[in-house]
Amino acid sequence: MDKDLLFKTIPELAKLIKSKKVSPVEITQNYLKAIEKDSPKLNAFVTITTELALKEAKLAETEITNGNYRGQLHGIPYAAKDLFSVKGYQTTWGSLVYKEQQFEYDAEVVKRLRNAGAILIGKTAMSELAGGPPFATATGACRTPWDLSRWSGGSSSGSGASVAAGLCTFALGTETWGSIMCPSSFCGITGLRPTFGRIPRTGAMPLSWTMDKIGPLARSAEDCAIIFKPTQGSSHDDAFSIDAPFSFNKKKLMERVSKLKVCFVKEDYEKFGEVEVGKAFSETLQVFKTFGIEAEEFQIPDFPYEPVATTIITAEEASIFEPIVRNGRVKDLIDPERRGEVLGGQTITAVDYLKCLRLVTQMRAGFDKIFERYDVILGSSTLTTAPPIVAKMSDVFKGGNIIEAAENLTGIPAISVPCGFDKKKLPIGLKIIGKHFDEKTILELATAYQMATDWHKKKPNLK
Amino acid sequence: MNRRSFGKYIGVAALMPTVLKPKETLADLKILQEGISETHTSIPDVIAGRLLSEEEKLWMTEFFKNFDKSMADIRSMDLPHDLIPAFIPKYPPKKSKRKLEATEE
Repeated sequence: MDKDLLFKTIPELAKLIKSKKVSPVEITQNYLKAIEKDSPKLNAFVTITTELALKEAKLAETEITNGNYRGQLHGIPYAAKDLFSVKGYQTTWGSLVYKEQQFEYDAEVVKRLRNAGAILIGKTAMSELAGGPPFATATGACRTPWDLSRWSGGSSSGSGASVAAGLCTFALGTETWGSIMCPSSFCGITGLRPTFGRIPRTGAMPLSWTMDKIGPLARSAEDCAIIFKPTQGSSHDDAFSIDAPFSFNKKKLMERVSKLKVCFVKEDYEKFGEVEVGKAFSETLQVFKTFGIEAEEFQIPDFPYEPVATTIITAEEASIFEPIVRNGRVKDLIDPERRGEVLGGQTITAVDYLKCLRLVTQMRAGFDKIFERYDVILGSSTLTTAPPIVAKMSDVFKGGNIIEAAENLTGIPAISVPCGFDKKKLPIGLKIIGKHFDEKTILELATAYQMATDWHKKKPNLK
Repeated sequence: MNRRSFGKYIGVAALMPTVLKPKETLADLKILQEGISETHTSIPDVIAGRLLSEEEKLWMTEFFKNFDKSMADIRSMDLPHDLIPAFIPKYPPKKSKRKLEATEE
């Protein structure tokens, strides 16, 4: 097994594949061996799609040999969170209730990646129905490769852990409220949450129709841009999906970045998180100063973001999972709090739900005003590093980071990049938030940051 | 109806609440809206067409302990009548003309 190959970025691997120095079959077999060895330590994978992966790898190899190179994703192995349907394989949604579930079609994003030539190597572990504490999953708590006694984050738990451990080049995740940012931060990788509606969700488990987003978890911001390009764009089957232009170019990057107007959210790390995370965040501001960027502190508009997000998600998931209330399988959900949510959500009134959706209109107006003055908002992806898998969620997410609920309600894009380590050698995440449809700017700023630092190149020492 | 009898009717109408004592007065209604609503304190026995177990009712009660508390402020907010729920962000994005004041007319 060539360990160096496992941690290469997409452009690095693509160069080797295009020049036929390495074959897609060789890379795929390499990852399959790594999964077999390391996935059980992490609980990162639910299903390993060996047969499909080798079939797709051989096809890619033949096409490339015949001079039909599709682009940078051609021959690159990736994993998908186990909420994306893949024909012929189980799609468990992280729950014992759905452990036998299969769909006879592929999720739209899986189809798009296949068309780009990427190779699906497996389906990654996730929190039960995309939410809940570390123990709430059908496959056992997923661990960060930086410390096997600690959680990889949720709900895209296995997607974060598998990329960080070098078990795939990139993975697909989803976010309704923190599910890409959190595992990216706890696993020390780069995760992009695009604008709401940018990547169609057909074939993905819904948790909240008005808040679910799909995005990549990868080794760098540039990797995220490469994955985002062929996956974005509207689909007939997702009425919320939307077309908007996207481009990413590293030429004259620093010139554009130096002109950005940037603000940041001040957090009380001592009260709600860890002081070391706050220290790492302050140090990132110094890095941006070297680009000519002087970040200003700003106040987030005053709205009840968290209660509104809770109400919308709970009402929508209650409707989505109403069949398991009807047939009594709700009792098989692992997390007792989740059982209460799915049941309690059945009696949330339409008046409450609609009032929350109307408040989101005002929240968007509030953020529009902020983005009249600034191009980008900076913050910490999470206020703590990866917690022990036995930690209570109320002790981990104690408050603060209110902007995370606001970002997800308003549907603005964000990227999480590694920005340091704490004394326990656990990674810390920096979050760069942008305007609607302005993935380009946050990807460029993140790329500039990764050109100036090497936090994203650190590898865990998984024994 | 003459001026004298009209006065009597007005008097009777004004005294009616003290005699009939309606269940809900405006003051009670305010408490209902700001506090825990009746729906949530009395969990229905039947949801989605089946009878809930005692344990399931308990899970719901736990959920509503926090939910009602966090919704209390939202329920008491006045929103402009023409404020439409948000769904999909539009491309190209336009500046919203919606004022932030919740009491806008």
